[in-house]
Amino acid sequence: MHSSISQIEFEKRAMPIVAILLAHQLVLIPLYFFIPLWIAVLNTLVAATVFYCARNPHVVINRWIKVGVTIVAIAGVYMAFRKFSGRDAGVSLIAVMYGLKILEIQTKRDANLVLSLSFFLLVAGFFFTQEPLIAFYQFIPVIAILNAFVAMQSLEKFELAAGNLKGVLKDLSRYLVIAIPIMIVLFVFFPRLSGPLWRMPGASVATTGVSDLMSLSEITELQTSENIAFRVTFNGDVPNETDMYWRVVVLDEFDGLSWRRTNRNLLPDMDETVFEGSFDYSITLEPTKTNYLVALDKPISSPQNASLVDDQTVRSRFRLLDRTRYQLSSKPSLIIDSSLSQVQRSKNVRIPSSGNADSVDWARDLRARVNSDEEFVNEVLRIINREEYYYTLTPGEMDEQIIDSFWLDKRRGFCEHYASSLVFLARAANIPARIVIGYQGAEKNPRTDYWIVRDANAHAWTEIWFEGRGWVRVDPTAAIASQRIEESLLQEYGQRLGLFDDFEIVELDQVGLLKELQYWMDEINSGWNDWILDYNQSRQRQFFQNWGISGLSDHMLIIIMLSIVSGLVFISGLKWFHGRTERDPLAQRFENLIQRFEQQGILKVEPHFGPKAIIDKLNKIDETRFREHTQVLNRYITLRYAERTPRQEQINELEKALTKLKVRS
Amino acid sequence: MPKGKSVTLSQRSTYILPTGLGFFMGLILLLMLVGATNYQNNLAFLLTFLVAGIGLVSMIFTYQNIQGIQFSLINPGEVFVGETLPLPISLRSINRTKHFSIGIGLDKKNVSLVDVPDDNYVTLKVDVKAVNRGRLELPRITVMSVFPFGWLRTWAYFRFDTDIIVYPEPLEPARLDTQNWGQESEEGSRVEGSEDLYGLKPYQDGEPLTRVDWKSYARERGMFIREFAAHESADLCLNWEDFPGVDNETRLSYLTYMVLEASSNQLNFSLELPDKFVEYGEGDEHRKKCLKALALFGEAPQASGTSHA
Repeated sequence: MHSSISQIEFEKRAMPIVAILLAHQLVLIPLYFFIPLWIAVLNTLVAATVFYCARNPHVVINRWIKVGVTIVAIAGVYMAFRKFSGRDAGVSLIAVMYGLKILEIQTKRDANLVLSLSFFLLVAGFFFTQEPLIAFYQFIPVIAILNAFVAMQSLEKFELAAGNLKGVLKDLSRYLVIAIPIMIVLFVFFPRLSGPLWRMPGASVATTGVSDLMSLSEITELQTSENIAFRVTFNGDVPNETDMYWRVVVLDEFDGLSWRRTNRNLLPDMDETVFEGSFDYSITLEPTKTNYLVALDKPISSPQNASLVDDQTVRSRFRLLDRTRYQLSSKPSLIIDSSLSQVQRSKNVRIPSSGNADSVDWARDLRARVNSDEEFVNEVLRIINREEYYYTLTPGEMDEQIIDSFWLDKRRGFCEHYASSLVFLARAANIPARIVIGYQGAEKNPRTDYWIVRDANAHAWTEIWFEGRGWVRVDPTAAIASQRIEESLLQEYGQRLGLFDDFEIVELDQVGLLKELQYWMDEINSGWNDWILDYNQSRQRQFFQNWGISGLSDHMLIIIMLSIVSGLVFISGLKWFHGRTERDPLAQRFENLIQRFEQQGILKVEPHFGPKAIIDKLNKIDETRFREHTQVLNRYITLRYAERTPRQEQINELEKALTKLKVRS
Repeated sequence: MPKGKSVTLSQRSTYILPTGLGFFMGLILLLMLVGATNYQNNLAFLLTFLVAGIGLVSMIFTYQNIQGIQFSLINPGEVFVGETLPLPISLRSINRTKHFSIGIGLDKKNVSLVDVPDDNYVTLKVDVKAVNRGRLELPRITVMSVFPFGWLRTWAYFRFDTDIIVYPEPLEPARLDTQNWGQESEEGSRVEGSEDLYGLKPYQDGEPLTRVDWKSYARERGMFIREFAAHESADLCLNWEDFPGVDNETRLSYLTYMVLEASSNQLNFSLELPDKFVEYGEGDEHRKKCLKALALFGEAPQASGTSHA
């Protein structure tokens, strides 16, 4: 039943080809959605051939056929893409090579090579899609690969490592139970880089949309788009077109590269008296896939399923997947935060301790020369207006020192450059300041009474806090002299027209159950995006800041990461051993009994004796004298080798009986 | 290093290192990590870390796979110098878990693999070459396993304490003086008396009177010679001095050959060595006693000293 096999024979033994093929094909399947179909067909045919050959050992594929197929397939990839570089061609080539490699597994070494490379192929799939469904699917090939590795090392010739699927899952889940926490720790702590190590042609560009993060270059994309962002209908008074600043997000934290929105508290509903002199309007927002609602500067009420946040923006309970309509009131003259707490103040003057040193000096120098914060801001605006500052959507590459590079050197940029420079300079001069992102302007649809705001209206401006006046809107971009605004931009203006298409409109305050469910599903998706896909350097920092830890260096992160992981491995190892060695008090009692038999010279116990053998020996010596021993030992056998784990009292009872057994007659 | 007739590995002397495949997997992981970093692809990070985690966990499982096994030496057959002894070792799980693909051998490269069930024992044989006569110093035995994934190899060493004795290599003496055997046995029979009577045969002139069956002669049945179990009908004394001018080891080999011959011919024989005399006897026990005496020839008398204590 159990026989040994020498290692040399073991190495020569037939491979678990089904397990290998299974892993191999499961790895390839997700790629088939993104690479030419013929590769899928070819790979499947190859796998079938290999399977057939394994079942019929006399069939051997000619070496030249293999070489021929490989050459033709590689040529096929070239024909399809006219190159081997780039993501799609590269992955297709890898898929072909990996698919054909299965023809070449003669030895265990080859099989191990293919299986190891499989993990790399799984990563390739993530360059095409990061859908949660695909990500969870990838667990299946991972398990199949591991199973194939185990099958390779197993003496029993099972294709599934333990002979059955349930067994495999049970066995491998023991690994995953510890591996997944390790994965999470590594994921959270592993230091992320702020940019790629190198750039590849054809890499995907970040998607547009107003986001939590504002990076100084992303808005360009949005600004050249003619898509409609939202439509507005005013009930009653209409504000001046130049005063139509539509708030969406407030960004108040700068890490040297990008601005971020920090966590915010909800605001209670406003007092009735505030509504004096406000504008009432309804907005029909195109799907943004974010929670942000657009509101005219500055909103004082919130629709149902949404709430007012203390940076005077409005957030919806769920992400907006549909064209959504809601009612709002806004009051441009509202004073917000007429006084600032020390905490808020320090938060709004914070800049990174290093970087952009020249701009910091510049700002402090200027502040020393003027008498008030207001004067400082006016002076900056005057400089923008008088000196050679240009407005352009193609400002060119900036240095790592973004503010220095723009403000003191290039002097060419668009709203976000101006807004972030002004906020940075103000903060450097110890004046609370923050960036507001949203839209500016609107155009009246001549046919009807609503106003249209397009992506191209996307805008960034600033709010500067002055004693007694609260947060005051300052738009540095507006200060640019008109002759220094690129002509093409001016020409584009006024030619836009848009009509409603046939989209269904969801009323924000009348969301049905089905929609709720859909939003709930979307919540998961959004969490996936926020916490898995977008977990980058700044989110990592934010994550640790939420735990009250800031300024962790990469070194520290790695040290903490390694400590936790080795701790996890150590503890699970320890637990395992203790669980195994101390779990069986019965076996211990049995060993003791055997020892006593030996000491008394009644039995000579060979080390491989089990309880059955002992019973036989005892009966040979004296059946009546050892009747009690036989009974207890029989109970021991039933309990010990029982299918089900015995109850504790059964164990205790037997333990007592085993200890009490008299050896001396 | 654990020693004894029955050995369980201690965790402290168990080693673990990546195999070649393990290092290759490490390289693949590194590539995955570089790719994930470059594309800032968090799912690639997750996958990389998952596989890394599994690699770390497999360390525990590889390691524990060779723990909790009791290795016992089963009494082997007899062995002579120059022979290969297939040393039977039984493996029994003492922690109620199965142990897979356990390799046992004299070195890591050359092992026999076996699965150890949780409710039974398995036996496998390790070939040990007997080089010198005397007490067999068993070589260090290696237990190893690369289960489950083949990424890591864990191994440990142990030794068995044995009382296995390697007998000298039997060599047929160049010149065997059978005449001599008879004379030696004559004396022996006088001293010892020969109990195992096989039969009687008629007396012929020249045969020694000492072996005449006087009882039958007295009963007037005629003169008979007592015939003994072997056809040589002689007791045999194997003597160190029988081979003058031959070096010690060769003498021992000759004597071993003769002991084997004599006992396969069911002779009653004794063995005389300079340091030991084995009384007349026959049968398996006697044969073993003689072979042991030959094997241990020249061994310092400390052995008896320890047994005395």
